[in-house]
Amino acid sequence: SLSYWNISNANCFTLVIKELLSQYGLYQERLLGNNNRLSHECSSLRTSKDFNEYEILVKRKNTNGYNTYYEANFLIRVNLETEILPPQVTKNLSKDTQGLHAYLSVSMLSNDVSNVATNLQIHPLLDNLLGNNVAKQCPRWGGSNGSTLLEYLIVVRRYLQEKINRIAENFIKRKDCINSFIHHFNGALLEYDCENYTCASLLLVTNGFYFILHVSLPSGFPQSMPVLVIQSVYHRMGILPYKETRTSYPYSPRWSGKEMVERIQYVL
Amino acid sequence: MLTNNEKKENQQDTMNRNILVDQSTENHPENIVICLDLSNEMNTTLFKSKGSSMTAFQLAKKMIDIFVNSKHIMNPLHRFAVIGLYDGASWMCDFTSNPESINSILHHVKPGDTQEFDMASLFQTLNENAVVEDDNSGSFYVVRSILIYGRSICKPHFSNQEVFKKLIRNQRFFLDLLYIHDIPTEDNNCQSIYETFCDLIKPNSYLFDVTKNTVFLFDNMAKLLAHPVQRYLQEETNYNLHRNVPM
Repeated sequence: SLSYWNISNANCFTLVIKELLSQYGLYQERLLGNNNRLSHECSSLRTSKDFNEYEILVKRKNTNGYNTYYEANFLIRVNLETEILPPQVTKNLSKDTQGLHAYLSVSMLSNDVSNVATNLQIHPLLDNLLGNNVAKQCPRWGGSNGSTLLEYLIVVRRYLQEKINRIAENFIKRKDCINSFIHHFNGALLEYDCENYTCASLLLVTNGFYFILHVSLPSGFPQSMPVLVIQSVYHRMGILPYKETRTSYPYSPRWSGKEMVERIQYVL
Repeated sequence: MLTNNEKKENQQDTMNRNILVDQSTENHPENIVICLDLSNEMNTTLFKSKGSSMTAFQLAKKMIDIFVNSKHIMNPLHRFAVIGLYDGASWMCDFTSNPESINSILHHVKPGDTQEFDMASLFQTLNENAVVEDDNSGSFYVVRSILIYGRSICKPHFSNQEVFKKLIRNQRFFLDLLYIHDIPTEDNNCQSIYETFCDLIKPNSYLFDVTKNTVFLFDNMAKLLAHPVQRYLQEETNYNLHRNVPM
């Protein structure tokens, strides 16, 4: 506060700005009055543990110059649990702290309960991580997704969190599969993707014949099976090394990495 | 096969290797320098296969082509360069991730007369062109030099070991060797040349030698595909497809 200005405190000006923003937000809420739907929504947000970081802008409007109503525009921060994501996945995100949460903008009218516009805003890096079009596929307001702001925010957060959890689970499964190849064919490793565990290459020999086995895990793994490419070290087809691709072999996404590798060896 | 002085990894080298491997939650693309012997012996050493014969140089071009294409399949960020070895070393092309560029360079080089080979020239050329960063630079790439030497008479020598010693201490520099030679006899220097290479390499290096066997040549070049940061020590490798599987 300007009343407590401390010239020796380097953060003093920042604190003043923060206080100003806070007071401005309260002022905006007071414009809505008391005991109406919008003021109850504000009150719910302010007292919630999980969604109390928000900004609000209220616009006063009227129809035909007589009937006054209000448009409340919220920008609410949706915090996400990203600690479960491996560092290799989040290393680009960590350079920009804005990437680990999302923002939901909501526009509500005091005179029309059903007229609610929402827009999920995600940092491009997070959007790329979760799969493109995450914002467009966000659950819509209303129906089973809730008719109050808090109910809807919980649905949105659950939607995003499930995607993050799936990324973490798929990473663990990929890592298990690639590590299983490396350990099973101990001593045969040529190279593997040690960041995202999407591929590995091994040099193998049978009856004096050497060949390279390239293992690629598609983005849909484990639901989608690994792609196996067997490449010759002796022959070319045209200008490229001779190789054949295997996408059809006994497979189940429920198998552990160890079992997958043992069965693939059997096929090879 | 020539006899190999047993390579024992000292404790410091083990620590250094484990540091680089343990830190590998990050992919390190390679800058691979193919150092190809262009002496006349590469044109006179013949490999016979199925009624036909090819020179070591012809086979080397083919196996290098398969090598760079295979590395490119594994990681398109790997880059390649070529040094030609005559009496000294000559930088032939800058780093490129395009295997076709390497193929094109090899298509135009030709073996020639040589009287000696100065190893100092090779490492000086590497130091000037491969830009090997020091350990704390946070450099993204590692540099691997693959020396393909094809002389059975001419023993490599060092006019100066200063640059070599500096490079060999660098954790991000790796040296592998493929020695192509005649059958060792009293009339050639194959054994002593091989021993020279044994003294040159680090414990995490790969050293292979091949005597006029086409299949072994390609087999060993395939083993050199292994990424130096992720691979096993040479004596720990096991490529056998058939492992015990309880089915």
